[in-house]
Amino acid sequence: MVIEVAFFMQGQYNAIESRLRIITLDIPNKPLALKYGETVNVMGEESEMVRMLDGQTIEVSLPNKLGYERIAMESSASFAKIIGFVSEKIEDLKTAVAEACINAIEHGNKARPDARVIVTMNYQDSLLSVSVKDEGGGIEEFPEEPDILQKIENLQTPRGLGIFLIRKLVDQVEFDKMTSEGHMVRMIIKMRG
Amino acid sequence: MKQEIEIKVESHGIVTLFDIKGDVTIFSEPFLKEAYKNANDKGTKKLLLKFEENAYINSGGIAVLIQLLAKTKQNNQQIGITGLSEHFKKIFHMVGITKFAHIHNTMEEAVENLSQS
Repeated sequence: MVIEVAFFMQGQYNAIESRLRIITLDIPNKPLALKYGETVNVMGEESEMVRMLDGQTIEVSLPNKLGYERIAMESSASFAKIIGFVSEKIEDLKTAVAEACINAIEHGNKARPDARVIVTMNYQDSLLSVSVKDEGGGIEEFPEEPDILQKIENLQTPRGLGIFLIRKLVDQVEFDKMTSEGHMVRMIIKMRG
Repeated sequence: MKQEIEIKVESHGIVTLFDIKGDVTIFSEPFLKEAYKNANDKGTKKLLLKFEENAYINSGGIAVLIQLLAKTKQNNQQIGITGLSEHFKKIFHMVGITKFAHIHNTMEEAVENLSQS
């Protein structure tokens, strides 16, 4: 499934009226137009998936299943593109968001099918902030710094690269932010520099 | 969501090409494992992994590739990579994969380089 999220803004970026258009290139194969504040059901999911909280904040609610991080990736990429981020930073953002969501799905929510991952994107003062929230109790133990030589020699697990990649690809990241509903990773990408 | 990759295996002289279509994630493991086993059983010494430029590759997929690199090292095989976007060339370099597999700009360059080395 490919989901392309396109944002159409009227006038200024922070205009009150914004339309969020989501095109699913699978089932159902038709465009859906949302008005400000509306939510959308995608692929027959009962829960809302993407919504605008205000003129600068978008929230994506994902089922707790590997593969669905693609929705958060494409949403954040479209958001960053509209803001004016360059391609390289958008690709960095996509990978960082994907890794944060994968960690939330696998480790935070422990692959529970009833859990959700909430991704919130906000742009303010030239900073794009993306938070990924799961329903877990936080990171119990950070993986050791990856060492490719050790991984090749089977002395270190080949996995555990997600946090490493996030730290490399975004300007700032906060782990272990506990909320009343679980754990949150907050990533910040600067528009310039 | 579709999780499978397709691996088309071709021989280019002494180089065995894995033409990988689709996203590379943890779910790619059985496909890459099987393709490698078949190539290894046939005695290949030079392996080229070709990815789609717009492929999604996440850390789970990179872990699977690292396992493949480990096997090629154990079996004294040479491995090359081609087809990656600039972004994933950067990611592979960050992770250190380039210490074990050279990333080539084109398939032709990769085949020539592997054949002669």
